[in-house]
Amino acid sequence: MISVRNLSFRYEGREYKTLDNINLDIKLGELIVLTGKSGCGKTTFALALTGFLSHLFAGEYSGTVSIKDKNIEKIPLVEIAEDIYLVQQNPQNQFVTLTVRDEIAFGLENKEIDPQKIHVRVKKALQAVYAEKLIDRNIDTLSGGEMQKIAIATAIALQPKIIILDEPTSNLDIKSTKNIYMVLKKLIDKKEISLIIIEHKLNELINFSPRILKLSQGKIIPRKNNQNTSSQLRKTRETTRKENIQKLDQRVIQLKDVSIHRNGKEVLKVNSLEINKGELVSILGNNGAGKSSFILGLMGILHSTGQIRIAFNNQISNINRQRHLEKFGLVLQNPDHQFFCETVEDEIIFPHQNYFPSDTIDPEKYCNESGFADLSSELKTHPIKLSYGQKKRLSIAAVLAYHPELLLLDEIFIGQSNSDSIRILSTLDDYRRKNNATVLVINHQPRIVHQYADRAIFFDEGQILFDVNINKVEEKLLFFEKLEYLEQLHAI
Amino acid sequence: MRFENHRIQYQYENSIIHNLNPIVKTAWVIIMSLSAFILQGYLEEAFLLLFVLLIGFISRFPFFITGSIRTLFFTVLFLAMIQLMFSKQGEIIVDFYLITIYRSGFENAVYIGARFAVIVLISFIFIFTTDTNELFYSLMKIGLPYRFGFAVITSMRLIPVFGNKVDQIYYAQLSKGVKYRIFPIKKLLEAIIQFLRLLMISIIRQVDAMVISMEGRSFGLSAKRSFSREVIFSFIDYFAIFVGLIFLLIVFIDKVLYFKN
Repeated sequence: MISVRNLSFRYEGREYKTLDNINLDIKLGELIVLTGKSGCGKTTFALALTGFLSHLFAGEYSGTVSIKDKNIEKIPLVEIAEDIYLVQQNPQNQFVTLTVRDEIAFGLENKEIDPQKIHVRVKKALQAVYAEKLIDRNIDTLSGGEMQKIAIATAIALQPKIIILDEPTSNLDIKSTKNIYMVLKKLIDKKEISLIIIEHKLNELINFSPRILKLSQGKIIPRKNNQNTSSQLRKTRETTRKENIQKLDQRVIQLKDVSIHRNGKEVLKVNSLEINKGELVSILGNNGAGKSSFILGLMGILHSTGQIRIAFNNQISNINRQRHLEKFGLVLQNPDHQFFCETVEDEIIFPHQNYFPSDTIDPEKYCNESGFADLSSELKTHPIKLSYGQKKRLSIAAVLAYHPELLLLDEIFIGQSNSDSIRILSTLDDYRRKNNATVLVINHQPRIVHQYADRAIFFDEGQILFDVNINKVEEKLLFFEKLEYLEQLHAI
Repeated sequence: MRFENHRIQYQYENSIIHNLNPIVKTAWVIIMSLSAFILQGYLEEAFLLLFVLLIGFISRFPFFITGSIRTLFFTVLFLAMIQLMFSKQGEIIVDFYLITIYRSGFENAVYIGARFAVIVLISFIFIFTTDTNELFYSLMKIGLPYRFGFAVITSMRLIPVFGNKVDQIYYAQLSKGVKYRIFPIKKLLEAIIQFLRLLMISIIRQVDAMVISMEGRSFGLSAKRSFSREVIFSFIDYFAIFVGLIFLLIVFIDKVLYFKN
């Protein structure tokens, strides 16, 4: 079906090849999982298979990608689209119309398919992703999981021979992730199309017996099993638990009768909450539960009522919110909206310089010391050219550089491989110990985060469902029937 | 609250005006705008204004909630005042201390104010009752080039995305110690440039993703495309078009009679 021969690609302005001499054959009906560290070239490879790399991107391209023995360099993109379709990483970015019905029909209308047939195919595609009820919804009213389902339904309706899914669950909560895997299982079982799934979370996919390809430094290499990661996780669980006994009891955050508002609407209500200095807190909950609003409310960025007290004894919601921002380290969910400088090194220095103009840091030395060594080779690169995972790590590095006391991290593990996630957590763990800092991590990966966390807070529909010591999390998840979270927790 | 931002926007209601075909409503906006310019005379302008208000009430237009109506009222008042003050032809009809109003000033104030009010109000009602998406699909189905239609639809898709990006970038700046203070101005300009540059990059990347998505779904494969949305012309739509044409005919007859007199 697809044949890749000696494929190499170097982006314009980069010194190294993102894809380096790749050879691969993909048969019809095959399930392929493409994995590898962030920045290793997975998305670039997906763009190469769909023809976008050779048609739209500037750089040094060599080798061939052929679909049904035709070199895709010589076929117009609109014709390549007949056979292969790419579901991009962020579904929200790829929608071009305003309603679910129009979005799924869009590609079919371009192919001048009869309107009656389009109606049938739209319905069938929605059935395939268990989303029939969404047919008349506006795109903007969909949740992250629903958007991903619609993006997949769009692909199904087009009936291509190959569908590539670029990290289809990266932005989703655990419940939505489970739903998406159910959808994928249905597609895999039919064996009518080839599926290429770019994914870090292999636990679920392993059950479908895929052909696993690992990309590393632009090359496809034989993949080792994930035993190392699992044993690493278990090992960390034991060591961190012992070390965390000596903890300070000084309160950093105190919330009482707090309401946090977004665009004039109350999105989160917290009756009472206290977080201690030095704690690493795992913040859990489905998309839209109020987790991001919680940390933005803590910083005073979102309007809130009630009493928010931070250890520096300020009632932030009622005073000049910028007065103590240097004590907070906020990493937002989407790294693309956080870089203001031309190079990685300037980006690391940028907030530090804003808060402490007379002080200087050496970004290279800092990157090596802080556990973000892979960024030191990219110091002169424009942040926008980094991979999604690298951008996330850069956001964290820039925050740690000015030594905040309270870290508020929103879904920092998106786009990170397991080993990268562990590396980040280990860095954060070291940081909080050295600086006696408090770390709040919004995440959908309790399996990894809970190896380090002291405590978990679960948000549900704009409220705190439970707030417990990390050892009691499983008990509470069982009690509140959050079984998908329990499964994730045990999925080593 | 429905009109939290006091902006006129499409709001689904089950009114007869909402249910009209978007093309029929577009035709009526053109007819009313033409009529506003063609008709002359106090009675005619008053009739036109009342007619638009009637359409508004039938469509359940929120006259008393939206702030835009207040803005419209003051704009009409301002336009009328300009005419009263600076149009000085014909006989003097009011002469009271420093205030002198000429007949031409009064006539222009009434005509321009009424015309402006009619055109803006009918446009507001059109926006309130018409789903823009549906309008462009309808227009494409009757011959608007689909590339143009989708240029508008994809732009509309970007509006909420754009708003979200603005928020996110602003939050990121705040958290990185960027301060929006007027002094020193150099720092303020730097902050604004950083903000706009990132916003631009972010939008370009969004557009790139949309291009990949559109090309990946064969957009532009041929000069034609099919449309799954049905554009239905019901009896009410035909009747509304018929009434519109009669209305326009009466307006022309009135204009001819006005010139003869």
